[in-house]
Amino acid sequence: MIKFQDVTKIYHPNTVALKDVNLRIGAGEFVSIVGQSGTGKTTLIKLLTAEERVTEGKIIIGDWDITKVRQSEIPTLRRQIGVIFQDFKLLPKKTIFENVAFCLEVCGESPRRIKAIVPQVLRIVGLDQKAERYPKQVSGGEQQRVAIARALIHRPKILVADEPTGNLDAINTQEIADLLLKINEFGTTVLLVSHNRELVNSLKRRVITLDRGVVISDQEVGKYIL
Amino acid sequence: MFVALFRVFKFSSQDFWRNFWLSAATVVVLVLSLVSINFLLTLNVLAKTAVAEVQNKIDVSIYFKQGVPESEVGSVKSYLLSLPQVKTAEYVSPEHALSEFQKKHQNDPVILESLKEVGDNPLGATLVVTAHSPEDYQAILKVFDDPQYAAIIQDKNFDDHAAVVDKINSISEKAEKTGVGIAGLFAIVGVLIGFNTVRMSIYTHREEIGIMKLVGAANWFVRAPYLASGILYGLFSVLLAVIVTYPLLGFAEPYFAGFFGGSNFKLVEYFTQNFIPIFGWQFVGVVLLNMVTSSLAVGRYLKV
Repeated sequence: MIKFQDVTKIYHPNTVALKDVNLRIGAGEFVSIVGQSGTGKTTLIKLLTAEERVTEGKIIIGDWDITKVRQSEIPTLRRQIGVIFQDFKLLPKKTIFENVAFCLEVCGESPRRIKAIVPQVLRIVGLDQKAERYPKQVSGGEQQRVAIARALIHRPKILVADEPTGNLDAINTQEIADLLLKINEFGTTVLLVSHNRELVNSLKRRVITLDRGVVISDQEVGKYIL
Repeated sequence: MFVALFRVFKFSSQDFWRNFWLSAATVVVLVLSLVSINFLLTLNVLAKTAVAEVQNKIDVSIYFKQGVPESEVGSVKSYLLSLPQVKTAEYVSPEHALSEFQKKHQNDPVILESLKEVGDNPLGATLVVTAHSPEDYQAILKVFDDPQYAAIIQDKNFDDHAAVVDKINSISEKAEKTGVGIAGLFAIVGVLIGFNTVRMSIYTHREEIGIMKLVGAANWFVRAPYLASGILYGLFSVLLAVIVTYPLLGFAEPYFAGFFGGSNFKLVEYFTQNFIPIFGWQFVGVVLLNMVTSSLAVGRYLKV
């Protein structure tokens, strides 16, 4: 369960990114967050991963009030939230296997476990046959799958996808959407931030609409209304 | 923990080679610093050795008048040995003094002829006195200002090497000051280049750092490779300093020996015998300096 309680975020000196946001997202839900550019969608994600701190209000994940999270606890929080981005954020000089393994390496996993886990996750995203290729040697959709594999490597309870299809064509967009739905079926809460009207409408899941930092719509089976 | 530390050093060494020219510049400046320090050390050791050698040559010769009995010279010797400033007092008999004198002037027929004409041994006994330190000689000489010795002492000869000692000290002091200045300058340049190297490295690795933070790498793990690079810079710079210093020492050894009055001090041997203290401390010093520099750069440019 993710709870946003009266969350306000003001950037210096007085740019209001979010204002009195109240949300409850249940465990295992698939939620799309939509809105025009600059409406606070990315800020919402940054608050969730403790990249930014709230100005007012509380964000609670499970029983954990992450607005009071200490600097030393942030890595623990981030291992429970997988994040993927529009620009994939892959390391070009590492192979697909190494990109995914890198996450486990920096978190202190043993080489044996890395060898065991990475192929499993690559199989889930359908890239086990391309593990030794470099990001440039695969398509945009496949690069996003690598990013998803990396985000899933810690078996997070929440997966946040910030415009994951922004750089993809229609076919790859649908493939990524299907993959996100599959991950959601395994019980992972998925938060999808998107501008893509067709994608959001095709999902037939909960849609939260933000406008100028305020939640203007929250529909259980919603549509892109802007 | 071992795995994590291994990875810290793995990332750190990758970082070292990926930014090779920056790393090389940092290491070269550190090597120049260390070689300057070794030059200073060499000067210091040589100057001390030379001064000690010169000081060992200082003595006072007390020439007794002809016919002063050996027992009286003996009592003066005993008195001198009771003084805290006196290290040794060696009795030279008139016969021994004469034979030494003849030996010394064996190629001078005029002097030898003069001795023959005199007939008897014209030389008296001598006491050769050495002191514990050069400053003590004045106190020893003052003893013989007492009128009671006027009747038995012919002359006193203080072979003063103070001017030589002063000269050595003055040259080595000036060289030391210049060396400290040069080493300090290199150290400052080293710190600035080291700081910039870490800053550039953080910039180059901003994507990796971002991903590390994104996937929940511990804060210490994100920072540690940049601190570990201080150890790598220290290791490479000390290794190179050893490689550069030894040939330089071998080359300079004969010149230094000549300059410091034919001293047979073995520089290369000295550095080899004191390898661990000299280069070990240099390694510790460079690593600490680099780690402080890296910490400052990491604190300034790497937000976790």
